[in-house]
Amino acid sequence: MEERQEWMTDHVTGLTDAMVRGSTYSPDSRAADDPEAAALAALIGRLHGTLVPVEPSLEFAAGLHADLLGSERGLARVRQLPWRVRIVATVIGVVGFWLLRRRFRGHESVLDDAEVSLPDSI
Amino acid sequence: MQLFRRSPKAVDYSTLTDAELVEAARGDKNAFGVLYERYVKKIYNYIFYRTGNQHDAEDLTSRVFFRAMSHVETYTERGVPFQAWLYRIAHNLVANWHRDRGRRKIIPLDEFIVAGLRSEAPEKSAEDAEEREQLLAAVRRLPEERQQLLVLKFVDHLSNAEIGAIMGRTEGAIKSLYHRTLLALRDELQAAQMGPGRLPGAGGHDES
Repeated sequence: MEERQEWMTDHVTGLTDAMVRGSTYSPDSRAADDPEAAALAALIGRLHGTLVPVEPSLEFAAGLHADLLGSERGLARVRQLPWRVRIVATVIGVVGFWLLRRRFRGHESVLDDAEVSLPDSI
Repeated sequence: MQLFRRSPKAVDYSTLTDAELVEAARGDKNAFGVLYERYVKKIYNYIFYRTGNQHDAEDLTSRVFFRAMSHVETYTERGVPFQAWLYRIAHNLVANWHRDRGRRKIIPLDEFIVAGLRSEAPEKSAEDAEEREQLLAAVRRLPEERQQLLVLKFVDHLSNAEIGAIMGRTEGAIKSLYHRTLLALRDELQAAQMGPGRLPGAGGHDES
């Protein structure tokens, strides 16, 4: 009884592995005369035809790839830069921001002056 | 003064093993990108068949890879290969999904059927649809670990050893569980044919 169960376990596993991988499987003569083996073989065939792989949409797969690596890739590139370059880039950024702010403030003060100098007749 | 250093040459990660890629992914996320491309379809398939719909499959697949990426630096193999580790993350998220929503019994089968019939002629599709629906309904009534085993075997085409690594069992235990699963599924289908009043809930051959 135990020997039969062991044989059946090996038989259904071998048959399934061959089916899903498209390889060959040669059962011994016992399988041909065994009604339970035949019934399980039919069930394995049905499962193989029903549980078929599906494809995730290209949009999803590409989008997730971009989401995973997009921000990390930018940070990784910055981390790979030599420290001198990083310092120079930081200084340029700070000075640039300060210049822009100064210029914007200057523009605002010009507008304020223009408002003040409007003639009373208008 | 060497102010501008040339960036290191791009590495061809496609030839590396999973373990080598995991090591590389700790310093370069492009290596994780290769792991992603290697496993996204398998993980998506696994989750799709465990949840039953595309929307949740996409959502949970995203979470699996974000979680894996954020923990890859602390991951150590210790007998659990990267593939098995990913599937375990997926399994835990699917289990939480079932627990949170209590949807296990009401998963619609339409998307499974459509997926299975894509490549067939319409007349054959109609003929087979009902049979497939019955089989899928019977699969969904099996205990969770047996559903997991069938999906890993038939959809993701994993070996018994790989399934064993994911489920934390020996190869022999997986073979034995598979045999019992087939017997339970056969009983389930026979019971369903006898009438809707007698559904055993895959209780037979349940020694695991």
